[in-house]
Amino acid sequence: MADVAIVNPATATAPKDYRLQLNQLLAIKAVKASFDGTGAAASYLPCLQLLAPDGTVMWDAVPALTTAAGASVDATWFPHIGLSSIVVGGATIQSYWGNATAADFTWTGPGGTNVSSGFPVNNTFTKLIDSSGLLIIFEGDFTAGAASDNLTLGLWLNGANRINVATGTVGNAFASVQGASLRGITGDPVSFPAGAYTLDMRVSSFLGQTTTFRCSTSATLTIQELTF
Amino acid sequence: MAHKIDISMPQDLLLQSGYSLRVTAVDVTNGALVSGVKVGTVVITADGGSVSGQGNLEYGQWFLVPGPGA
Repeated sequence: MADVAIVNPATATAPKDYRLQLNQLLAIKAVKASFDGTGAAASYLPCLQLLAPDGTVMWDAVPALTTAAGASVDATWFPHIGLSSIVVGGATIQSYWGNATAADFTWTGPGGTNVSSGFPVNNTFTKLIDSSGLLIIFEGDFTAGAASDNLTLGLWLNGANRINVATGTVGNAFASVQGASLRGITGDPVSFPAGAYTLDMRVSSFLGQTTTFRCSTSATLTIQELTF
Repeated sequence: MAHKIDISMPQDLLLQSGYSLRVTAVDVTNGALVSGVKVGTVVITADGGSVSGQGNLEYGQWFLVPGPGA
């Protein structure tokens, strides 16, 4: 006979149970459920369990990869699949684009000190999976001060510098820097667990002279979360 | 927007009265319930020939989607 759907459309805090009643018999082919992790206390695994009449958990079906607190997932359980993971290697899980500030950022000194530029405005990135990598690419343009100088542009994640690049300039010249880094791959001494990261692009002038970071029109920050 | 995930489960599941399927969210380190996760629509796909019991009316808020001609 044709398959049938047994549905519970109500939203409720986990867990959600379906208990077979008297004389009921059911051959299960698949289960689908949506999870809203907006209010999750921690990262989590979507889980399907079979419970015996006395409440004993007979088995758990969970994926290999964790979903970050704050993230949502649509999970489908069905047999005959070999790998309970979200995507195959080399896939992009999500992409992030940094939005510009309302105005260029101009600062004066102190020399050699990294200062926050206010770019990007959307300064939170939520990593979805513990074991994924982050491909970080950015670039930015400057209007340098009157004297030859050395300018830097870098990305801080949760208050820690993760990539920083520098360029030498001549006086009153236009300068441009670009940076790229792939973090969280095997061998990276820093771990990047799933969860929220505060993004902060900081700038510095070695001499501390008045410099403009032209972030309103000439700066980009992109992040791709990738599987391996 | 929620991302999609496929998860393996045992095959040839044939459940009888008194047993329950539970959709939940658990901690990766200890398997405990993670609080604050909401479960939305849940759909169980079953073999139509196997659905039997009390007039095809299911437990609580669950209901059998009516077929053609219902």
